[in-house]
Amino acid sequence: MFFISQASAAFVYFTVFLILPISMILVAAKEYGLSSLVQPHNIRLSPIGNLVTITKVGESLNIRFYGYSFGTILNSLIIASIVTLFSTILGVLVAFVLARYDFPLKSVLRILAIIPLLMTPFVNAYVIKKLFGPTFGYNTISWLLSTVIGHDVKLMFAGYSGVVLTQIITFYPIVYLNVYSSMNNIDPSLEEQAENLGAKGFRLFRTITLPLSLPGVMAGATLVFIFSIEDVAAPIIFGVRDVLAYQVYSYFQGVRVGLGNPEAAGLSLVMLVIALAMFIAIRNYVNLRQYAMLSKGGRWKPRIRKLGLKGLVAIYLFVFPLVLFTVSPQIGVFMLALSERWAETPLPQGFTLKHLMGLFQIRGVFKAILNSVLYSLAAVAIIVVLAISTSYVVSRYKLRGISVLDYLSTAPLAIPGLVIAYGYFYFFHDAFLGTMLDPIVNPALPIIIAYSIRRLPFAARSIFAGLQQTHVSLEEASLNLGASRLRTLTKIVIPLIILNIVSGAMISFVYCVAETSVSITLGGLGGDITSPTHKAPISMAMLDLITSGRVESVHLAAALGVFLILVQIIVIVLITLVFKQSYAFIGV
Amino acid sequence: MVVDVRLEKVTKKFGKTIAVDSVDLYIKKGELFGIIGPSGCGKTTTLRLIAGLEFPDEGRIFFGEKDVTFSKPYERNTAMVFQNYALWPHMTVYENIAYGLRLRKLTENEVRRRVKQVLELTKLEGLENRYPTQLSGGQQQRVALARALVVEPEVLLLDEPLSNLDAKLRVEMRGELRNIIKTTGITAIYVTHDQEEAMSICDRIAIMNKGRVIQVGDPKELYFNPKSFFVATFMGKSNVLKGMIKETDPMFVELDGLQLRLDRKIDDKLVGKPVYVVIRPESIKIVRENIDYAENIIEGEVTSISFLGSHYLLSISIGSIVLQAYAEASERLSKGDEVKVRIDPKDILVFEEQD
Ligand SMILES: Nc1ncnc2c1ncn2[C@@H]1O[C@H](COP(=O)(O)OP(=O)(O)OP(=O)(O)O)[C@@H](O)[C@H]1O
Ligand SMILES: [Mg+2]
Repeated sequence: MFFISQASAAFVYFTVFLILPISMILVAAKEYGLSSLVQPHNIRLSPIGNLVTITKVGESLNIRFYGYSFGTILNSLIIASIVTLFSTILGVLVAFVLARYDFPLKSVLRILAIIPLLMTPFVNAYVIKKLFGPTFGYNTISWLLSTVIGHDVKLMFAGYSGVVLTQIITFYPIVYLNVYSSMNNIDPSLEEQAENLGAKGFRLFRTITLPLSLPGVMAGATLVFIFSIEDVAAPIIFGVRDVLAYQVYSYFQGVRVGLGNPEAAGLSLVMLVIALAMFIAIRNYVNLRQYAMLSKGGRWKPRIRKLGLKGLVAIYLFVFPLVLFTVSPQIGVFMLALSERWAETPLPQGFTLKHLMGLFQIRGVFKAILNSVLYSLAAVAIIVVLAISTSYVVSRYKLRGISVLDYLSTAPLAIPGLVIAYGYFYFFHDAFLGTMLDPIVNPALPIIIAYSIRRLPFAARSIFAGLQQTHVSLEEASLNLGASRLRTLTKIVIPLIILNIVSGAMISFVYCVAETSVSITLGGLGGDITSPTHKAPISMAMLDLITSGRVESVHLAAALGVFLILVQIIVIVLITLVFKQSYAFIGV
Repeated sequence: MVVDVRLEKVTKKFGKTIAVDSVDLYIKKGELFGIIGPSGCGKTTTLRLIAGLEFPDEGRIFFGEKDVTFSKPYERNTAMVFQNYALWPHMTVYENIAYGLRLRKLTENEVRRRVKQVLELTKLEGLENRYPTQLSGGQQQRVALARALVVEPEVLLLDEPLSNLDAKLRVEMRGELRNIIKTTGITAIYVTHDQEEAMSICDRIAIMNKGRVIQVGDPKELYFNPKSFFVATFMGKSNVLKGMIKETDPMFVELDGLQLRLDRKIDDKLVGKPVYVVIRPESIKIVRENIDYAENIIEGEVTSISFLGSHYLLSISIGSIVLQAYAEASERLSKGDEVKVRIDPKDILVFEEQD
């Protein structure tokens, strides 16, 4: 009875707030007609544009990357494929080096490798544009390059190439983390056996290590692909409009005056189909082969090898600079937040704390912080209840079909945020027109509910892990003494996994505060951020500040980025050092 | 090529733990050599040192004349069978076995021929295309063995290869394993913590304890002539009693009022000293009639009896001493019976201390 009621309650929540809104996209897409999706502006087989232009202006060599346009749908697919390919190569390389070799400064590399995961919506793309993107003068990298080689070179990544660069830098650690944990789960004797039979170096990696970490590689690559498709920040900053994310996002720009992009429904559906297809494809792929290790007999500490001279040189000359390069956006965010001015110069100028102070002094900005914290706390409250009951039911109640709940609680990871935003808008605006749930009236409630669905997987995973570690017999003892299921849950189970619950809640909180897709779409309906009573969350404020064109505002957005980074660092430190739990960055 | 293996004063530490402590071993060409000892005594570490998966802190290791102390694992031409088999789950049986051959740059034809040969030897024909997860424990074990044998290593290393099998299969595989290894004539080192298994498979055995080699010898020698209390009690089940040497010519040991004659030379200065007496259950024989000429005949009472199928396990109490003994299943015995037992003087082992 207890399980049935828990399961049904969770199921109802998922149905109303996940399945229903998303199904509405189908209805909406039908209205607009799917035939327009194959129009040339969506799928163009003869591309326009060029990949790279090299010109000589006097002594100066200008190299400008841009990219071809194949139409909105193909562009997104192509960008996602390129980003996935490079992120995977980089992620696997860093994971392999860190999982299998020992070298001086290894712990530095390990920390550097996760820094790109510290989320600063829009600002990091903005900083990447400052460092590597198109400018009138020198971007930072051209300035560095010219200074080092003593010859005038201007290197810039614009348009599609800028989006690709930004996404690789931002997303590759997702591959790294998944592969790293896969590699650590390989029974070391499998590699030792191969060495024993004569394998070494790249052969060993290619034939044993890589195939055995394939589940991690696939999981990481799929997430990167999905994240690339749904990423709207880089396209906005680099002015790339013909990608799916931008088109769906642009729907909301006209919505207040009743002029939404008519194709948004169709394009949302395309995004959803792509993301779900990827998700299902890898689930099947990973399950196809029985990767569960045969037996756990041997020793479980992977053997860490010392690097030879060649290896050391490769690490310091290649891996370290590469990883440092991926950390540059976060460094740039700090520089931007703490500088007076960073406009036409390759490096920021002047030091000031006024932007950081501005977070509290400028009312619209401070309100955005309050809004985000409020929405996130409310969402986390829902998440905790939902995550406990679904995890508990899934891990303790053996009934065919109960795994649907498991799917539903992890699926939001694979559903593009913009699709959820679009579905929510359509669903709430139509079904609750003019009420408190109508996002045009007040986006707060839809945002909270959307957060709770989107960020549920993080808490659910942490709590599920906790439940798997506590033995059922502890609960059975309580039931045996006559306690009810509910009493057992609250008095025995929850206290036992409280650390997992708190950690899960904090992780979800962080990911809510830094949420982008829903925040800049539904959140954008909450009034102008200069008004002290607006309803927009932090990401929306950051987007507004960055696109406003005022020099001052960009620094303020960076200050918000610094605030987000600090929140994330505090939570990571609390979870890993104080609670001794693992911080679940995005991973499957 | 078949080689002999020599370890000279090999020491390996992990932090403060001395896993292998100044070990000397000599393994002859083509010998099937066992290493036994309790859990954590350094057996696996010794094997891994020979395979090059660890490097010693001190000492040297030779294959024939070649010093391999610090050669990389892939340079040594050993082949190891891991305790958990370490079969690659992403490769079929065929691919698993062919892996080492392909590394040796053989032609695909040659690879096929040698895999076929070893599949026959290990009775795995027909399973080539299965994945390891689709095999039984015994089959997995044989794939691991086949994969190691097929590369014709100079030294074959086996780390508790039967420990993951159930008891019955474990006993069945013993003979099979010895046959396969002996057919190839290879030098093999066999690690186990099961003394019975080692005795039934190996030509010679080294017993280790706390990182040190305590005694090396063939199975009979270790069983009947253990040099220390540890070896005596490790090799099989035993009754351990405290006693005192009474006389040395002829030698008598007194155990709680009971006098038993011994059949081995014992230092005179031990007279009057406390000693440990080890008697194996199978050395205690029930006698039915009076045999006047035999010594060491004792009377006692059966205080417990358990039927083990082929025989009984008895507890016989003699005064305050309780001895474990075996009796044929055909003996009609029950609890409370008075029995007479005889202990052959040469089966009584005496040790000065419990090391
Ligand atoms: N990689 C390692 N790091 C630290 N200590 C180790 C390591 N490997 C082995 N040891 C320690 O060295 C000692 C010997 O270990 P070893 O694995 O050789 O024992 P063993 O005889 O094979 O035991 P078992 O029968 O349980 O397999 C043990 O105390 C063990 O804890
Ligand atoms: Mg061992």
